[in-house]
Amino acid sequence: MSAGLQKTPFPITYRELWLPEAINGTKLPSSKNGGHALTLTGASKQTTSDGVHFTGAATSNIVVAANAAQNAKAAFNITIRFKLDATFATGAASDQYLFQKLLAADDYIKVFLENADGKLYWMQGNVAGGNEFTLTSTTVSWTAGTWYIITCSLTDGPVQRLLINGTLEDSDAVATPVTTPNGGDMIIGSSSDGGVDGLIGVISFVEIGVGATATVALVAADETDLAKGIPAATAKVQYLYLMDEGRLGATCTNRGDAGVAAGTLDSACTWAFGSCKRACLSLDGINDYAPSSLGVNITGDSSLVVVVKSKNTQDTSLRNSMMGWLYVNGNNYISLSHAVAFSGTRLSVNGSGVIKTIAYSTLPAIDDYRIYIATVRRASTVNLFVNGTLVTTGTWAGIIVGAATAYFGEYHTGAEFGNDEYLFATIIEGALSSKQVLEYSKWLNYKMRLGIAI
Amino acid sequence: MGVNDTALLEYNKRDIGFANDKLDGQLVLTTLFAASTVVPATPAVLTLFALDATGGSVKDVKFAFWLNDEIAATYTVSVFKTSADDLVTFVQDFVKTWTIALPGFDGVYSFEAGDLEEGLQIEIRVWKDSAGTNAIRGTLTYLG
Repeated sequence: MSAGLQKTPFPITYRELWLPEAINGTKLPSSKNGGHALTLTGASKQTTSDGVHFTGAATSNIVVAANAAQNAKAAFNITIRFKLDATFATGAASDQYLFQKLLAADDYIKVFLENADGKLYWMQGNVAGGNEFTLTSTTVSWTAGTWYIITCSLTDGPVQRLLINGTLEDSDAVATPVTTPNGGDMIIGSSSDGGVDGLIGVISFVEIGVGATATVALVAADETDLAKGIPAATAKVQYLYLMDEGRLGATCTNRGDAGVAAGTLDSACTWAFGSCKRACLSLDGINDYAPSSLGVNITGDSSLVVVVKSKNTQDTSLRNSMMGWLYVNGNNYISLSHAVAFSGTRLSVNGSGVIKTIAYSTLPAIDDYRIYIATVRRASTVNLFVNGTLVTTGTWAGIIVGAATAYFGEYHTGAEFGNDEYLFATIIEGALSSKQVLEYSKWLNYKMRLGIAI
Repeated sequence: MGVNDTALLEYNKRDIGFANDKLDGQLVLTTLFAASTVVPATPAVLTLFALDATGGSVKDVKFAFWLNDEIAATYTVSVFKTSADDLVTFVQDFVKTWTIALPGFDGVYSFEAGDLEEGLQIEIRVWKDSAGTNAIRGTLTYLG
């Protein structure tokens, strides 16, 4: 046992303390005696992995076995977030496949980077021969180390679309696509299990909608949200691979509607981490949530601290998403959220019906770590700090009354789901001062190796 | 400040120290609490605690639990771990298996589960050999 050379720079008393490393199945127990455990629904213990790294080798791929949920469907869409190890453009050594589902030589759907022209191709084969449609990006150069989010879709409308980072780069409403292949595994990161034309880089998530057009077809708002890291609604997501398992030997769990269809990592795939390697509470942003038992104390002066790995840009979206929702009733709560028609983070505090809402509009990038600290002083002030800095403040005359339930990733009615990954959450006795917040944030940043510039 | 206040203050200092030291990233004590629940009859198994060492090795995992005396039965406590060559499959560490015969009274039982190397996971599982309701609650501590 080593000696503790550094301590918290000032005394702190925790009312609640939740450490994701202790998640036990569907429970996140409290690390505070008398605290309130969280019960996970859909949410799970994962890691801060950035995704899966692919090498392009024959054993670098993820296989999702063919099944009825993905075969012979009239509509299909896939969103992939990826970055490359080396810049890709015309003259690259070989094509790099991101995805393919292939049954026969002329019966496939596929997404790949083409070395002849540097473009991204979204193609479907026609079982009668020839290509049913071919869409290509206007982007012809892909920068090493830069994340891209692509969305490729088809319906029997017919509508075929190709978007890069939310921008439509090609579409086709003339060619009528055939249904998805009635067999053949879905391959992520390569053309096939054994192909040597796979991606050389990292994929951080894959979201697939497949089914009837009326059910899974994306609307423009879905496409916009996907480019921000915000998933589509439940019914439109049959496969969702968040790729945050972070453990050699682990499969890639499907968090979407098709349920059990896990992806199997081949041997050359590895998990990519940054400087921070920790267990976290992972939520899919579709229908996962993690409420506590009743009895959380948010009365008087208190501070809510949440450390997250941002999984969306918090930009204006179709719906609210909750980060921390400490709820007694409609007249008494503390809410840390991203809200419809507002880009950024909002802190709302309601005490005995007296509400104060303050907002912060600087957006994170996906994968940014953030330390949010909301301080509440009874009948006085509410403050929101981000990464140690006071970003917004307001006066407030409210007094919170009653015992609360803590919700992470959802509103108390089972809505407004969020997909940020939680590394740490606590409620501290008393409202921290600005200096305390700064010191505490620096300390958390150092201890967790978050790499935030504070 | 009364006696009770002083005791509470001292308790809080200790509690704060544990939590803070944990966040410090050094090998100091952290505690988990498992609320009261029912011990199932075999073949059902209760996983009382789980711990993940993804962020770095933890040492000296200890746990204790309280059993009430409502059911006379043979209780088994077992430590399951993943291993370096298989990071996702839990296997029983038989050395750390104990049988508790007939608690007979409200009992506190303490065990040691050793170290948990970086990247591994551990689960503490409990079951008994006969049906019937009885309660268990516990704490787990580790240096991590």
